[in-house]
Amino acid sequence: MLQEAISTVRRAPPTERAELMESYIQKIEQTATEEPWKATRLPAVQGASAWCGKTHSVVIDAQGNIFKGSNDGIAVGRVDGRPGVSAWSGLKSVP
Amino acid sequence: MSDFFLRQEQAKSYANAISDDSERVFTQAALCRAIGFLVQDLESSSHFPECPFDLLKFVHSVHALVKDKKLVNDALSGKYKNFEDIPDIFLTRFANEAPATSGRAFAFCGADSARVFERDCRVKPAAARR
Repeated sequence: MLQEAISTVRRAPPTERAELMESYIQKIEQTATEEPWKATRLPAVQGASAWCGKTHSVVIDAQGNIFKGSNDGIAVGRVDGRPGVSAWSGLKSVP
Repeated sequence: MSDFFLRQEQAKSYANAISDDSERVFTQAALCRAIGFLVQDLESSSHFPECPFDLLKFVHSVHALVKDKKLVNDALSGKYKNFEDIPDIFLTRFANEAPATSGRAFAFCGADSARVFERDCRVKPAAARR
């Protein structure tokens, strides 16, 4: 389901992608039946948005570029004084 | 790079360099799972935790644990479905390295990663034999 969501989001206009991804993630959380599924929303540097699941993360930067990969590809630090994603160089860009 | 997960890059490098396939996959999965757990903790806490988590120490401990094949086999069997089911060896190992609740989270990472290992590692050799 997450893969489908990413495929749909990447076809949306860049400025709408983060909001669209949030709505898809909420739907997945509500409909996941096999086991509870939850993604943690975190602020990210330079206006990006991040969602961190049990094992994988998705980041959408301010330009609408989408990045995904396993959780060890993000770095968690302080973003505006709060916990957030400070880097995601270990994630792969979704073309 | 990160001021909350100490030595994350080193932890990742260490896990990636483990030569034994099953130990490497298990440890990598545990690292990803640990980060997911800890991020959830961050979201639910109202303040920035004062004690960062040393992920390099974590992967060292996980690697040591997964060398215990009996423990791994027990975890693979699905024996540890709840935090309460996790044997003391996990909890005592991490008790000195993180607050007690996070110790349980770390421990569960190990148990859960065993199932990831089962899915990702056990299937491949069978497929290769075809």
